[in-house]
Amino acid sequence: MPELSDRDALVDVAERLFARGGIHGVSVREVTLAADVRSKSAVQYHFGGRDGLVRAVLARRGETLRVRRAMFLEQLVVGGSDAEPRALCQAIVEPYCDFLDDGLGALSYLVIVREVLGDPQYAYEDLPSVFSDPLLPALLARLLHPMQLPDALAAERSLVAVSSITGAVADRARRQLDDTSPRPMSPVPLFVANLVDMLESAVLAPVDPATMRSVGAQPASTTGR
Amino acid sequence: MAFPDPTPIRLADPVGADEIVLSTHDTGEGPAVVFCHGFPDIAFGWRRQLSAVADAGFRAIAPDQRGCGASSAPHDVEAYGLQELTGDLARLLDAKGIDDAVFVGHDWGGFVVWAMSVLHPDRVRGVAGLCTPYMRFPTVADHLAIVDGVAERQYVAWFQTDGVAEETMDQHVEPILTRIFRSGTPLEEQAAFAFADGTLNMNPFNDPTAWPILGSTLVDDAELARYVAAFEQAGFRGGINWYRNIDRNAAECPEVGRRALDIPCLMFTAECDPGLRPSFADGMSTVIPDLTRHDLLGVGHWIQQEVPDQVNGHFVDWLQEKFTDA
Repeated sequence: MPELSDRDALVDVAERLFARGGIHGVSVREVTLAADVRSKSAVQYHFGGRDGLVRAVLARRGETLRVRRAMFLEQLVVGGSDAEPRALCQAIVEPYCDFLDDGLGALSYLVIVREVLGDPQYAYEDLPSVFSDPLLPALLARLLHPMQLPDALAAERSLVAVSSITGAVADRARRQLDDTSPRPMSPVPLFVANLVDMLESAVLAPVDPATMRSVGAQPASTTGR
Repeated sequence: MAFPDPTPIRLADPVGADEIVLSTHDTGEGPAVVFCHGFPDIAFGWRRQLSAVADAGFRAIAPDQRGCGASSAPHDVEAYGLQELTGDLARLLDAKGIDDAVFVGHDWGGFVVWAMSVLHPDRVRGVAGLCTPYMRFPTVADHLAIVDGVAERQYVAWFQTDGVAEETMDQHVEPILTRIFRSGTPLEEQAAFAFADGTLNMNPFNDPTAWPILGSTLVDDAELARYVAAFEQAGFRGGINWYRNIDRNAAECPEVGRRALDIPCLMFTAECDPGLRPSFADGMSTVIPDLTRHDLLGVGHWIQQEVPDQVNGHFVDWLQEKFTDA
């Protein structure tokens, strides 16, 4: 079997170091040294610099996430449940939470995603680029569609939904990474099921008339359930 | 016969610039057998084979290949050459810790697995081709010549312009798949439509609803729904991009289809396949000393779906004779 390439070794090491020290708190030199690659300019060569390295870290598991979502959605379509809110929430949450059971690197990725989403440098409003995942906005749009929300409010709900999920999952991942964490943790399946429940309720929450007025729309009686 | 659920397999160091993750079905234990689908198809096209081969003492592995089904689908045409497609299969073995395997391919997947034996010979114990013989892949010019240069009348030629075919086909997923997955019919019956206006038309994809529905269906409602879901989600572009590299493949991999193969090989031909004619396989025995050939009569292009018992019987016999580790 071939050995790990320099490129993969750098992404592996960067993933763990970024999760521990933050994407701005770790130098390219530290990554290069820890990866034990021969060339000092390996990051520049393979990724064009730190920013490219961060994007490569995101893209690697991001592509696995996209494929998991695509597989999940195929199953929903076959089962005829691709319009059911709970199934759509599962498709958003479960493939992402699979990383909680996938080793230290995957847990590190979850911590990094949250940091990137909060970092203006990485265009946090562009979710597909952070997750390498065009399906995520499509799933959110399908979930929100029956609500008939004004565009501005739908966008706001999508963003808050994603930041809440990635935040909750990152907190959980960090605790799993920190084996000295004093609080006992719920089993992963319970954590995931609860997250699905909460996402469904949050996304489909009734809209207060005052909220509608604040986005410049007439309060409608059909929003909410 | 249950079709195993897929798992996402990430490939380390894939050929090209893109991260590649393949949705892969994997069942059984024993010498590995990798199943490679053609176009338009996905790993699900092998649903009538995997369990039978696993039950016979082999490990049956079927990926949605690059660009297809749930697997990674880079946008660029250049990401779909033979080096990339065969490289993915070698790296799939790496990811699973497998040294070598028997590769079986249908249609385009047949071309890929024959190329495996030339481009990655140390990973290949044997090759089986369904409909697709070991031969040089015809060039775009060859395909155009069949229809006097009118690209719209020959699908491989029509596929060549970036963005055109997928735009039409993605809007007609169900009509296309409904007409594609049918049993074989006599060639005269197929020819009656292909020559309906007096000139040969070999493009069932650009105006699919105008094409007749011949033979009987090879997919029940649930199976068709699964295919439709896969192609509505992924679109046809990835698979079409395979065709957009045929001239580049010929230039970069000139030995494919020519170099002699010193491994056990198996060839199935289908009498009613209008494109991949059984006679195309006639030259194989001159470059493959250990060749077993079965000519299946009265069957069409999708032989593994149409006559799975015949295909599985011959295939398992060959596997057990040639590859059972004593």
